Amino acid sequence: MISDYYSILDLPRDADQEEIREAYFSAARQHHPDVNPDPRASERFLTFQRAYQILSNTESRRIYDLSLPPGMAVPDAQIQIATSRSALIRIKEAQLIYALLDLTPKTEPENRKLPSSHICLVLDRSTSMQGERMDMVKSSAIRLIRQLKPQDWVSVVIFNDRAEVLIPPTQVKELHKLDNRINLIKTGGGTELYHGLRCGYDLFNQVGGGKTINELILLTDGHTYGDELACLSISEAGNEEGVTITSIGIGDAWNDAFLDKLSAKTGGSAFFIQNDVDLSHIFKDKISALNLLFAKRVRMVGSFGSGVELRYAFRVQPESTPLAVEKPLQMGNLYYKNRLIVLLEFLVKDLPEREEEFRIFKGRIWMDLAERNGPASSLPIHIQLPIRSETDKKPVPVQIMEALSRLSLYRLQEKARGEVGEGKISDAMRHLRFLATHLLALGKRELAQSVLVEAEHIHQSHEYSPSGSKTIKYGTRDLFLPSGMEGLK
Amino acid sequence: MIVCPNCRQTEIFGALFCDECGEQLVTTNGVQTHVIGEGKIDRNEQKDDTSGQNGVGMDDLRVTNLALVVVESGQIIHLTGRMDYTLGRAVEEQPILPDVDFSAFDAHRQGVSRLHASLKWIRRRVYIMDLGSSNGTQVNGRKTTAHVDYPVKDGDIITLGRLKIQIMFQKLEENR
Repeated sequence: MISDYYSILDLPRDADQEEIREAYFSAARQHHPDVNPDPRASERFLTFQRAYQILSNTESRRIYDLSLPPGMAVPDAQIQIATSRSALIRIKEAQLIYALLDLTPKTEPENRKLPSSHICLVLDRSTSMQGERMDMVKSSAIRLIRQLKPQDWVSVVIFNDRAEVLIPPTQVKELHKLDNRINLIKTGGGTELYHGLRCGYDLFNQVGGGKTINELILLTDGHTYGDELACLSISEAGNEEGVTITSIGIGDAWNDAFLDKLSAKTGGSAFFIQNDVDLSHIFKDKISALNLLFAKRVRMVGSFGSGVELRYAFRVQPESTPLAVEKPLQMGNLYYKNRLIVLLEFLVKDLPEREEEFRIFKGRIWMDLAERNGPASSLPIHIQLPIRSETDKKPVPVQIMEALSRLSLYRLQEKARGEVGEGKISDAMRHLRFLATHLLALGKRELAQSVLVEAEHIHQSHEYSPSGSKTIKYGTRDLFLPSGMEGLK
Repeated sequence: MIVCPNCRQTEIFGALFCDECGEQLVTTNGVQTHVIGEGKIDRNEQKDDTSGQNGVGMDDLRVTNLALVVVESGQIIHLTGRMDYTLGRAVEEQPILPDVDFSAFDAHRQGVSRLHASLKWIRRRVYIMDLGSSNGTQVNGRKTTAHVDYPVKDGDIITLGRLKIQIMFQKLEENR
């Protein structure tokens, strides 16, 4: 079976000559017989050569394209980009420019076969989970399973210092009473996340033929010790395989910075729950979202203009969370009837003297369509602006102002948090006070009050109260929810 | 370089919100305020006269004047010309006097401190901040925390100690 020349070279159907050439040379370098002694490599090398021959010639490419089945290599989604200003200013100093990416599917999810999901619950059963906490997890887990479709797969891993598979990957219609095992979970032991994650991750390629939507939901109430790097590498591996990790932290003692990172690498996010209602809510939202999945693993790859740095990236919706600034930039999933909105902060350090236009970023947004299981498809993205000598009088697009105003509050609390960690107490208090003022102006009285109470606590004891830092962090993060946002529709 | 109108922190050109205090750095029509670039300072702030969408909470007013009404007596104190005012009680031989002196309104018995609170104008919003007074400051009956800016709107009742004053915004639309 021969796949088409495009997918052999990892190219989209609308690749331009530059992309084709680059892809070929990079593949050739790796597989050239002089470089690579493996006999299969030289065979592949010949195929690459052939692919390049056909695709690099306009006429032969045209004929070849006609012979291919109509591809969905360009996904049925559209992207809109807004920038904070319509031009860059010709100044000698650095400048910031913001871009808001808004992706949305162009089609409706009618008459389509719902994709099957494989949900793996990785549950912490360390000693601290005992009593009400574990009870809450048990009942929510069972309820979650009841909401899945008959053809969905479910698996459950329990872990403390080590991990075991409580329920191996089983289709919901075959579960029968197996989910009762959940009720029998006993608590005890310490917390080593790595074992739980590893065990869960390994279950995904056992079933589904690579066609399921894979979600790992991690539930923990504590810190893991010494195995963070190992966990992060599972997360990376998981991302390559299309596994999205959602982390749920219960109570005060878990490491939110770490779980945020763990989830963000896969385009997922972390949640903070304090009671049963929160957890059921998260599970319910997740299931309905999965059924509306249009594309997974939306990621941005490309090149920046010279002297341009991506300083900060934040997903505004759904599941607002800071994104890991890495190559590629993992943006999360795209759902039907919804939009994926990401805010990017670019620092442009200097501008070339004689140019009229400046390219900030050029690349592609790739995604794995939920309904096909072929190669990923992509959309081109190009952010380029003219350079002017005067500031323009155009207003900053309201969606950018709205998103940034919430983001600046999120970042204020991030700042305060860092300062408490460094012992800069008066700085932290000052930032928390500023935060409170803005929250009051937004009408978020309760959150403002929590912030002020926490500032006082920090004044007295030089540290956050057990749930204080998380309440404030996730509280400001929740400002991005529809109830907290107005101009963004 | 941009200077934040609230906290005076310098920010990179193109920043829309101050990193230090969260204050908005652009007016709603996109004009950057307080730009210091290549030696120039551009005080565009006063010219901001567009409507709407300036965050949440303010009506579209062309406000340039504030008035404080002492509730008990109905007397009006006009505030003009400044962007911030300290409210308190002037005492002889004190080096620092408040901009608005409530001595004439029985301030001492009403529990007003010498430097009780400050009223601040940032762009088109007004804030009250208790300066660490002995008896506290309330906004519409709710206690405020010292050293925090609380947004106030037209008609709000500010209580300094036990002295109630009502803040009024005066429109100056047809005042030319």
